[in-house]
Amino acid sequence: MNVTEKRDFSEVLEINFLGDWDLFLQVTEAFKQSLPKMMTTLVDAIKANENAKASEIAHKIKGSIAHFHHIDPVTTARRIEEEGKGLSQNQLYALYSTLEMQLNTLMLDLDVLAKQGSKAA
Amino acid sequence: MPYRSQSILIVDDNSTERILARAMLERLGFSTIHEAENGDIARKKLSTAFEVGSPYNFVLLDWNMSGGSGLSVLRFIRSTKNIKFTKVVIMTASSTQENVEVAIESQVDDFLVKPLTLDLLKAKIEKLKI
Repeated sequence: MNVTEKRDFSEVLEINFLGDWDLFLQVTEAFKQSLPKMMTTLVDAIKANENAKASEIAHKIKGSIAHFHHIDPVTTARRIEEEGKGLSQNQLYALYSTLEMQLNTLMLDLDVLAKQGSKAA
Repeated sequence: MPYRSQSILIVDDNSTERILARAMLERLGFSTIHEAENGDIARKKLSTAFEVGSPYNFVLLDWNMSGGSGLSVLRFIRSTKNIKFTKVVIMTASSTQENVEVAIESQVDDFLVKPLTLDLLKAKIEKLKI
């Protein structure tokens, strides 16, 4: 069983979100709204063999995820960004699938935290 | 935190980055904060702000915006007579040598490596005397 590598959320809340649950909820909502479009752009770039574009959008996705406490999707997005130009389409699809699963895990975790945050805010 | 009257433009195509940058600037006492989600909107806001007599004092600019880098906005600022001395800090996730050289050539005032933190932003603002 894979264990998701995470940073301590209370530390992340303090440093990245200024200890402010309202700010965390606002950023989480913006992230949830913007992520589907970014993931669609990424998979479209892979389909079209546009590796440079895939690398560019992976950079954006990495930036959005880095505010949160899960490390694994940041690592995968970074791999697509940094190594993407030299990978085959199949290798990129595999990384995309991994990223998608890791983001699903992150989203579930963010939903739980958002419920806590709504009570705390 | 003391009230700061300077006006700031945040230019970033990522809404989460803009929300966080705004929140941090508000914590540092700034209240006149505007946002632009791409280079075209940024250029329009920079021009309009000058025309109405309230030019921006400081621009926080993402370097890697999709569909055109922050470089074009930086070059616009430095080549436009009335706003050329606006302080500009580039935000980038990768401070590679190539990025740094291009930005220095285009007369950027400073860099911030993402993810932004309040301490880093505060230090840059104090350094640039904004």
